[in-house]
Amino acid sequence: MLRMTEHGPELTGPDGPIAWYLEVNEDEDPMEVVNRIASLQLGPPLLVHSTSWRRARHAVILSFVVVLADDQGRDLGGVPIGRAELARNSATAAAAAIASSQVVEHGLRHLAWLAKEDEVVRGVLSPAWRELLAEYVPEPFRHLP
Amino acid sequence: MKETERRLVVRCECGYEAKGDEDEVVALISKHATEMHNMRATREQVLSRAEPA
Repeated sequence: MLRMTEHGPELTGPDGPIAWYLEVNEDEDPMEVVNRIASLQLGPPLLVHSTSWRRARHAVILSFVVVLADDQGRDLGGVPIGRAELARNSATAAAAAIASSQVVEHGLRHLAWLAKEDEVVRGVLSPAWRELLAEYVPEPFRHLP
Repeated sequence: MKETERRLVVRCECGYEAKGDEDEVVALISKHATEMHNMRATREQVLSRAEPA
């Protein structure tokens, strides 16, 4: 989950800045699950979008970026988001290792891509988000290890 | 003391912790699992992670 503060973007969530894992049962839509649980905990978010996938924990893990509105989750713990190099490999293979900061970096590059390509996304993002994302190299959905 | 009155603790991977007797930790963790992680945890699954409090 991402929020914009007066000091810049932060990684946050009901459990603070650690990754928030949701289970998706075989009869459920991942997007609906993320939106429903996020809304239950914090109210409807500004934006929910899947940005990458990887195999881990004996399952396929879908990474979602959830952008909170300025008035949501102000009391939650959070950490500032810095820049990170992306994990890369060949044209047909995923990188061998990846850090959580690289998942976030990729999520923000994906968001930057949406902010350029998708009018709906551009429309819901605040000027502060659009200004921040202009600094990122746009990148679409991707397979991460 | 009855077996079911033992004080137990169950810790979720996210850091959430539930303490109580068997019925209490099962109820607390099941609610947490559903509301926070969209998980359907059975009584057996919850108690398999229980430790003495």
